[in-house]
Amino acid sequence: MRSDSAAAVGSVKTSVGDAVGDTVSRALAGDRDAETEVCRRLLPAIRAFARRRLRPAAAEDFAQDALVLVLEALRGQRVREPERVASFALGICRNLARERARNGERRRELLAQFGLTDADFIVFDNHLELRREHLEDCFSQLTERSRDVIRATFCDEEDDAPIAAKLAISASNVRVIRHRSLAALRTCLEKPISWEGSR
Amino acid sequence: MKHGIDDAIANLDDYVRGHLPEGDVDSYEEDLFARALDDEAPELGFRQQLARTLQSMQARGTVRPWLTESGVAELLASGMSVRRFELDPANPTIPDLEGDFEILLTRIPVALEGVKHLDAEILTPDGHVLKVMPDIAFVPSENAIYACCERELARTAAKAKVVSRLWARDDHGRRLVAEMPSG
Repeated sequence: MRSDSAAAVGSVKTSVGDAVGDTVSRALAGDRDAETEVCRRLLPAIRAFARRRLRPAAAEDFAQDALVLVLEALRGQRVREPERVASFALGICRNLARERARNGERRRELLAQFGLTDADFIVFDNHLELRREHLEDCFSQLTERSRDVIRATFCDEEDDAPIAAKLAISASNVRVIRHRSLAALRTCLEKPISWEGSR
Repeated sequence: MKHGIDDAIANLDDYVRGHLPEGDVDSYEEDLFARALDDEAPELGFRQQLARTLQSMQARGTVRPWLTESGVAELLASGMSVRRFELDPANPTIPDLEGDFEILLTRIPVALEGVKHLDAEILTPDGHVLKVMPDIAFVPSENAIYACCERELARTAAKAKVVSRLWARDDHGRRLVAEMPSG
């Protein structure tokens, strides 16, 4: 089940730019740029995996734990099929989720052992930037109800049931409003800021 | 499962929020991780960018584009550097956007008695609609609305030659309450 969503927006190739297997192989050979690239690509998926199961703060800890374990496996040459590193990382996430091994001590040890700091996670995430004023411009074009749903979802991190209760609508309606609002924001963010249409 | 970028964004939302049927989760995760590694899961980047930027806007007080007086008081007490501007609809001017500030707060006096709903519209001078901002927050007794935006957006807007229209809805229908050329 491979989605064609990437094709719909055009795949953004990175500076590494070669086949995934090659990038992973270079990471396995000790190339730190390739290793960073592998982490950069996997971290958002790991975070989504964690966010599905955990509250935000715990999800971020989980994502860091899982990525450290992926890195440990890469540096320990334990990824035997480089082209299957995505499945390998998913397996780590599933095992970690099963174990719920969110042991602070082990995490600190691993972070120390592999020399990872919070700054490394910032490097993995540094492509995750939106122009605040652009989002602000797009956000202001949503209806009040859409703004409420998006704000409650992403800023207040509320579940759908309390959002629905607050807005006096059904939870399924919250889901539909969120999907429509996300599509509207995505479309708007692909265009220039609206004010720039009159220069 | 549907395809296309907006469907991918919706599918990811369903996955993260626990709405995906349990039977679909394993295959969804396999696909998501594989596409992430191939740099072909743009919905992941979009969702995380959106969440981070919204949270940053929340912290700065700009996640609400329209404020009422209670929101203004909160913003002013937040410690952000706020430049206040009074926009006279009858004689609109451009605010001073030089110097050091983070947020522009614009007060626009409007007679709001009986008004139930307010929308703003931004048009080019030849009438092309650039944007519509629906559902402006207001308290009728305040007889003013307050627009709040980041300095960068204010500077971008100030460079544009536009006409701003404010539409009210009351028991008698929809009416234009202000039209303000700028630039």
